[in-house]
Amino acid sequence: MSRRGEPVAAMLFALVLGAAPSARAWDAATTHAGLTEQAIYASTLGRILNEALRRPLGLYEPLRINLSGPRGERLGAALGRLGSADGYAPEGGRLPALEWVVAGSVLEETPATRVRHHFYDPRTRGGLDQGGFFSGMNLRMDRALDGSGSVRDFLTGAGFDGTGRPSLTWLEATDNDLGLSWFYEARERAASAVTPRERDAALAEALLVAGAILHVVEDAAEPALVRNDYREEFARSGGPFRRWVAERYGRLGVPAPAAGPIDVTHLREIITNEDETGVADRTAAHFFSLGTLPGTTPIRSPEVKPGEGQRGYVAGEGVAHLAAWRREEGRVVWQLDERCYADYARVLLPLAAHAALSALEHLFRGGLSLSDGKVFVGTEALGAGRLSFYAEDAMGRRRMIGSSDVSGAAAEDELANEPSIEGGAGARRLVAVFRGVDIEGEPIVVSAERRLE
Amino acid sequence: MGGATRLRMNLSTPDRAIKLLLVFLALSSGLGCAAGLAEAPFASRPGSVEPGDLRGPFYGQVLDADSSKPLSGATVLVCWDFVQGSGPNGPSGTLRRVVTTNADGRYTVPRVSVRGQHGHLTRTSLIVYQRGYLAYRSDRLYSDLGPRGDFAQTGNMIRLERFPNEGSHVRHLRFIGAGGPLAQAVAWELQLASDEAARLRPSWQENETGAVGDSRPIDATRLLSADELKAVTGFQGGFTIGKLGDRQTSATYDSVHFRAAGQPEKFDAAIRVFRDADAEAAELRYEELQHDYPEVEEKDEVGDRSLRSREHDILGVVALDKAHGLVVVFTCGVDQCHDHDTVVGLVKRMWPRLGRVTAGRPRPAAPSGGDAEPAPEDPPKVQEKTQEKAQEETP
Repeated sequence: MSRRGEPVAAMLFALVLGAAPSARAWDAATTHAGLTEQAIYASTLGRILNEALRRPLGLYEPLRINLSGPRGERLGAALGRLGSADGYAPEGGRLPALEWVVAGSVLEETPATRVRHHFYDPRTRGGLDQGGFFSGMNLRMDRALDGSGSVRDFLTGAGFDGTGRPSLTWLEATDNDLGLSWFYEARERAASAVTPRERDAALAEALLVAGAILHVVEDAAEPALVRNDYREEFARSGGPFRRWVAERYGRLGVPAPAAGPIDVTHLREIITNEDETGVADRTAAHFFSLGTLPGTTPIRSPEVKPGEGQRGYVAGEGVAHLAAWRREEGRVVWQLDERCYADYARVLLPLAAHAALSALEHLFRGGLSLSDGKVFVGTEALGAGRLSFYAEDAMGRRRMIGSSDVSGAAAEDELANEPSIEGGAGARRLVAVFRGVDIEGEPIVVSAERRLE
Repeated sequence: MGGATRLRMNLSTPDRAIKLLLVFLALSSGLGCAAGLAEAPFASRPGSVEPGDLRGPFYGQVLDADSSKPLSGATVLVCWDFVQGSGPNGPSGTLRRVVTTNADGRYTVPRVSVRGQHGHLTRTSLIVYQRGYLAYRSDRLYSDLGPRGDFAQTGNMIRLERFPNEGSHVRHLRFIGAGGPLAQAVAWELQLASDEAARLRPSWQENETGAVGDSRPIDATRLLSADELKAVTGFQGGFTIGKLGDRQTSATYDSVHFRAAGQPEKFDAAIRVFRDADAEAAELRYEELQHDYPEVEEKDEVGDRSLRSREHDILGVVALDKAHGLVVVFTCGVDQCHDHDTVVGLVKRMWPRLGRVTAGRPRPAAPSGGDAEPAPEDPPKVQEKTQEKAQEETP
């Protein structure tokens, strides 16, 4: 090798070294952060923040969060653990609006054991079911050893044991600090709280929780999470598909949704529905995880057969390398390798981003408008709920001036009359907030405001 | 454990017994909180095969890419991120240090202590930010957001490119993150990014098929190579090939930027390819560009329709291909292409290859330094195969 060639060869080697993933250098948070970012950029959230919620910088509006009580302490501690290299770790409790959504998406897996509630098997309609007190003992030991669980949890059996609630249930669980109920509560306060600072804090909280919800939806595109496979995919193998994706794509390489959001009646339909077109339905039916390869599981789909010869690949829907097989001592051994992961990622990442986009649009759907002394429904027909009015003074402080139950109205129809505002009250703006359900019974919060003459 | 009720624990498997012993050792020795250390994905120094140390220290120099002069006062942020968990894992803490480059453009970041940290140190990122320049990340390239392979722990040389006049602040803030430790430094970009975001249309709005997962990115690199460009223009220098910063590659758009190494913008060339749903939509886009571009002269020299345009030292040709629903924009600095006839000649060379831009996977932009071919770390290419053919492939 020439003198000129040697350093070039070393540089090439260094380039390969620099790009090659370390077996232990995984970072699952980057994938979710990237998927959520892509969903945000493809969504109408910026316009909603700018127009409906009057934040001049839209996605880039700086917001300071304020979380209180035991839940606030838990979330504050978790936020303090977020990595600071990608712009979603709060500084002094402040972040631009879009980074709150991304932070929430990462927070949903902080601590990592929250993932136990991200499983949903469309076949059984259940969650993770690979444990129990005794058979889950190994898992609790592993968690104690790697630090994600405690020795106390191991001894008492309180720790993660290989079981979890279905993701659809988790989203609505009252003990989920980042569940749907918190989103609607914060969204309402973002329009109704007394001071501008409180409204900003509530909006930041709503965006944080929205990000966490997006994370759960994105997980429905990961085969192991929809085929009830924790033991083999994660406990024994350390999540190789997740690691491969994180290392190859990072946060910035994750692709954008290739299509516009789907319009669903209920949020859960993005994950699973009767037509079996939900993300979980499609992923579970057409992809493998390590613990659910042919011959290892009673799960029949996808149905594949090895070819002739000693080794090869089987193809699947949209992928040329669905699984690798080889013949060994008279039997067929199946595996997933990097070619499979590359194909899986190419299909599943846009699917996950698309699901996240649909979920984000669903959470912030609809609206109200105020004109001619009346309140009109926006694009989403409303069902029963509570319509409240607030007057905002010159200092930006809001006080309630009326509230009543309403039975709802069709899209673009009149919902109610505006209240009269007493003279000399110093009110500069009128705000209307509806919290209830839409015409399909799905929870919704919408608001509108206008300047008073 | 004791009392009347005996817990039956199956310790018959050796690995479970060993694990149980380890847990009790951890309990008794308090070792459960020690931070582990992952292998660094970067070299210890340029050209070395020896891996670096995630903890640091980090030494390097920041230069202006055009003038090669040292940049003093640039902000250098190093973040050390910890995770916990051996299956799914989550963040367990972070450390960071911010320094600025000295008069020689040099930075020094001392080694960090991981004592007392929970979890494993799995990631160290170095970001350089200077207003007026494209930021630098140790892990990703700005040009195509792909992995960076040339970062070194010590002796690292960083060349910051000037922020282009039409550069995207949305893309820039996505690259470095709009919040976090650099929030104050990037605050001036927030309004610009907000204005830009308000004008942007999501890529899915331009894809009328609405199908998920079946729209492959188009690949503008198939139209013209750096060697061919040099053969036509007579340019003797080298190019760094990357993407333009205005839009991301998608099913409807791709770009190639031939950046002349060590030369000003007048030596650069760039290709933009837009794909629309049909001929009518493509023609509509062509006419929009015809309306927006400066000093336009429609000449119909290439494709179904084509025009010449010029802004100061940049020559441009826009051409329409109705059959493929494509609009091609080729811009070239006057010091590279000299005149419009040269630019038109280059577009004519690209024209027979238009069918290729929608076939297969795109090649990533090369790392800086010469007219490099795609980096070897690209994921294995996926070929279109029938199931029968796929079974013939060897894992």
